[in-house]
Amino acid sequence: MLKHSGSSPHISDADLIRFADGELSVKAVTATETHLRTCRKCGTRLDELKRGADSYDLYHAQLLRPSLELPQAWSSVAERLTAPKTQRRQAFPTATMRWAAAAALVCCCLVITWFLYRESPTRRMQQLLTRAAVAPTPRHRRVEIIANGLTWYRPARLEGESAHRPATDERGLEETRALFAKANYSWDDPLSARSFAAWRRNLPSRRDHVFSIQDGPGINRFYRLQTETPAGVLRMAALTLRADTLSPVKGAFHFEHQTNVTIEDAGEMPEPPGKLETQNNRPLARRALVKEVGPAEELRVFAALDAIGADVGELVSVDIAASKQQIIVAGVGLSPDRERQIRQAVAGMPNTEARFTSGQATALASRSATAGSSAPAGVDAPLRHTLEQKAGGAQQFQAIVDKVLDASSAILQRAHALYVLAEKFSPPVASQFGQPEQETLRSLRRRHAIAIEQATAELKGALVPLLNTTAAAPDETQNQRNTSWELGAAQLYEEAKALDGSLGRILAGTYSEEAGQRTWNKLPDEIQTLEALAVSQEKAP
Amino acid sequence: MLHTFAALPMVEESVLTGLSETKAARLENEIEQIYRQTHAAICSYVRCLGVPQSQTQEVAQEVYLRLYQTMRKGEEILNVRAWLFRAAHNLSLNVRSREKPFRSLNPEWERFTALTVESPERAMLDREKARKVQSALETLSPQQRNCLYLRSEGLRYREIAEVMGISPNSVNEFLRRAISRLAEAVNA
Repeated sequence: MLKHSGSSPHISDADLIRFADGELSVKAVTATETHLRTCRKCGTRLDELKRGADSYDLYHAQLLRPSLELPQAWSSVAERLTAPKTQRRQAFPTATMRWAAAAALVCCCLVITWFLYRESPTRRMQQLLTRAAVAPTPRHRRVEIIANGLTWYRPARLEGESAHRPATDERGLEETRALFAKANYSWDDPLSARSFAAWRRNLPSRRDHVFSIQDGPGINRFYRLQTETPAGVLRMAALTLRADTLSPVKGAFHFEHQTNVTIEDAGEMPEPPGKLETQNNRPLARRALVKEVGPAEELRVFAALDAIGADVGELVSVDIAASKQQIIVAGVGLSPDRERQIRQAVAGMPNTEARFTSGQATALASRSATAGSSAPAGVDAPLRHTLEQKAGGAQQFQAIVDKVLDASSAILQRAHALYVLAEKFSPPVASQFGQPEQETLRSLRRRHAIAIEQATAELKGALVPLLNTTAAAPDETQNQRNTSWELGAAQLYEEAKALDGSLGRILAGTYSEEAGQRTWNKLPDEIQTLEALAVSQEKAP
Repeated sequence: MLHTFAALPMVEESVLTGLSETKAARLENEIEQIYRQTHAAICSYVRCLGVPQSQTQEVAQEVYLRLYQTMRKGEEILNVRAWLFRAAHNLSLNVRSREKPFRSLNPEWERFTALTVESPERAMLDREKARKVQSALETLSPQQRNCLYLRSEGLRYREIAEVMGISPNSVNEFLRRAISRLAEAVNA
């Protein structure tokens, strides 16, 4: 039995795969073949799935299998077949022996566990510090130092001159610097596992603790390594490491006389390292900063939004701020859930901020912009009566209208998304991209183009009873003249708007008999042009 | 090393002793034929399931030993190939290390290129595609990878289901997800 995907008239991926693998019943094969003869979307999807499966088969036959095979002579197996039972059991022991071995193993495990548990904090800390010390540490990072109620920013690691000659801006930190020096704790690289380990190693007596911390369910995990000592000026130091990379993110230092210092990772430096910035003269405390953002970073934001479908038909815009140091994702009139999804999608992207405002939406690509100007539907016109008759009644006509307008809306939204990409990442801009960014852009464009093709196919399918024609294949030659994809995208957007306007007027608006007929006659050509443009977008390099 | 093979019980010695020498020789000959036809596939599957190379031979040998014992008992095996994969699957799950499958594998890229070299450009494209496939495989679940593997070995969905101890519908679903992911990777 064939299953269609949801309410869609198309064949599900599972059935297409079963069809390709010869796993469908004879009846289902016939039904599938019949459907595939008329449905381009399913045919395309079948080809895509076949390409995926064939690629694996090639990989399996030519790479995976040969890599895994091991030579083994039959003689070694033949020996085992004819060997006495006792000999075979040497390799696979009897149940009694297995139970005895299992019991012995459990005892050993218990003893080892107890032994490890007894010494765990110190051993665990030692292990983590050893691993963290050799873990790669990003250069040009900076730290936020909080001491005496004030905040300073400085490079995470002072090297060269800056390590020996404190900058003038560091005046307020003299006392803190002296405390670190007195405690024999590196001030040049205070937020590092090496400095922590060096200080800890020289302590005459100490007490270690290792804590595992989690931000929240499914979020980042950290280790907090804490060492306390009764000797020296630094009584307690705690270093927090990310569990995945073991990079330090925070250091807490408790000195004698209740002096506390906190040092936190403050992301990459926005300008070359070496100069300290104080909170008073430069209030820049943003995390995960990069020097300057450009089209590549903007494209990554688009890709992140595309992953949640927020770059299409949403009231969301993406722009680089005038300062060139920030990407602003602005949304208007979105639901709190959608706002949260968008925030999550761009969270962690360097220099990216999501800003939302409530209020009346100013739709960019909404169908209402074109159809909304028309008078209410249901106007008595001869053409409408004809269409209703062709559809089989007013109710059926309304169902077709809904379907057509939905498809047109989807086309318009995708066309707009494609147009925005063309505007922002024109060939001169894209030529500056590296290979990954170019791939991302190509993939985004292609997905929009395919979505337009699919929506156009749905629209054509829905209009068939009214147009009295079968869906024609797109005429790709029509748009061969477009040499660049961004011109094609602009034209596609214009065509989508025109088509949406025509459909809005003819199916849900008012018109004179003559104008209505004229618009109606133009529809097949408009659809074909749009589809051809979408196909050429999909195939554009 | 401790081995437990609960899924396939040991055959009693009395059963093995009741066979004439001629029949035993014929059976051994039959097993040898099966071995020569299937050994590479079974060995690879065992390794694919995460059994370390050092233990693969032992597990594969045990698979054929079980086959020999079962056939000596006179039990009918309708589909020997599927039976072997199933035995290999059960034995491997019992002995495999904690090492994740695929991660430890080091595909012979040079050999792959040499095999597909119609032209340098073609070889490069194939290699690029194979890398995409490998990246996509790393994102799949072990069941999805196993289903793909067995499918490429020519097993039907029903047979894959038997090997893995799941329903044919689950096999279809695993394959759907796996092939969709692969299609996404190679069509991107």
